[in-house]
Amino acid sequence: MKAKGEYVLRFGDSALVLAQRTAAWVAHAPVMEEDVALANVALDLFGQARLWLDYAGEIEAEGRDADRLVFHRDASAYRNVLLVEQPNGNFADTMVRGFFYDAWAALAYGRLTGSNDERIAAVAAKSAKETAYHLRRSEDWLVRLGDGTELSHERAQCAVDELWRFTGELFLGDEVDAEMVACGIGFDPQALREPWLQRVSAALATATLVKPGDGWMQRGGKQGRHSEALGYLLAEMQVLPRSYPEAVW
Amino acid sequence: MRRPSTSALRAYAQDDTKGTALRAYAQDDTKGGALRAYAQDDTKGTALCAYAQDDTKGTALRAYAHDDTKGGALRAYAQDETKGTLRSRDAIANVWALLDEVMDPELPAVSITDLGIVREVRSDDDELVVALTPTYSGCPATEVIERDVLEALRSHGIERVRIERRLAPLWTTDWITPRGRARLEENGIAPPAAGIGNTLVILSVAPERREVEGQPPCPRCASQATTELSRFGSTPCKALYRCDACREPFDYVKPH
Repeated sequence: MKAKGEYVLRFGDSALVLAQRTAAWVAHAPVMEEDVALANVALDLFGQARLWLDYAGEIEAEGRDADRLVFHRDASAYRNVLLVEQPNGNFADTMVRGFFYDAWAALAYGRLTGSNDERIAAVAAKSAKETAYHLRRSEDWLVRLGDGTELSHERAQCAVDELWRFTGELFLGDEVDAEMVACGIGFDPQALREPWLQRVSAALATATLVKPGDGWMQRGGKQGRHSEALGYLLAEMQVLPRSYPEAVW
Repeated sequence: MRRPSTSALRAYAQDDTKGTALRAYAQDDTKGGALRAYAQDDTKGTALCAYAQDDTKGTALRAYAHDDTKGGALRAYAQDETKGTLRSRDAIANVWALLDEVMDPELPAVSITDLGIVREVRSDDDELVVALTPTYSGCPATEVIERDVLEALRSHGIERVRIERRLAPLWTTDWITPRGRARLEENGIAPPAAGIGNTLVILSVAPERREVEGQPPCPRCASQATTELSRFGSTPCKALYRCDACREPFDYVKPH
């Protein structure tokens, strides 16, 4: 039960942190349509996060709902992958980060729709549908930026190179993953690596971008060891409910 | 006022201004006491009673509705003895009719039943349960719709209502009814391509072709020459398109 709560928390936290990052673009996007699109992607991710985190709270059974989990945990209690907490940077950084995540999430949710935990299967099915749409968009942007102007190509390549080291963690299993695989709830993260690489390599090639070589991969987000970037994100996101715990709309 | 029947179907209504106010009674005797429906309005006692019984399979289905103006507002229950569960037929049909008038806040031309997001209406003891499914997990209209449902039912005297959120089966645009699709089109919103929603759930690693999303014809001039302007439109459920023939932009309900 503890492992399942931890497992669900990881999906919820990754969706949440990426939602918060993405939402920060609102009113700053390069064109109106992008502003709307980014807001909508963020909304989907917030919605997914709530579905996961409500369930995580129910499994934990200590009276914490999604809001409680979101606003009253410190960075070390967060279980998102490191990739999603990386700063927004420029538009290419954001789109490449989104593409790497979407390509992974599409595969992960596809697997989870077969989970023998009905609730997990249902949330995954809902999330898979939305992720498919996000993925087509982030992939389009990757191609447009990579195969675009000299400047957009350079920035997209730089984003790929910078963010590549955070992708290894997506396919790294630990004892929680193993337990979830053993009881038919979860999947083996390693099994997603090949299909992910296939899709990402193909998209990078179309975008005339170079896939980075194998190198050091950062890890630890799923176990609560985060980069300093997450602390700033949480500080901004949590300040109101932390300062005024009884505040309501 | 009395219409005595000679054969299979009997209908009976009585308006008794001095005593009990209204009684209605119908009976279909073609197969024995096959179907009976009974309604009673008792101004002095319990306000409204409706009773229906289908005896074709023994005591297979009974529906009973009871409005107690002095006690609990509405009690509706039915007993389906074939399954041993409580169900209400008349009262629940009535609730569906009320929900048919609750409009989607983001697609005001379409009711929530047109949209296919009402999954079940049932009564648990003396509480009415309405099961709704979200279109998009982060759809900001979810709470508004829940509030609208509660208000619509309360304004008809149904106070004890619980909203249940249900994820499975998954909502796709294929749940939008033919009437819903027609209403979208009448309002200048292109309805989603049909039959796509259920195919996108499990993802392949091969990049999907754009054609899979369908190419919406212009809802104004019906031209097939349209262009996607933005994958996201004015709300999470819509994309923004432009008609290349009449040059008008229009919303397209994303098919998935």
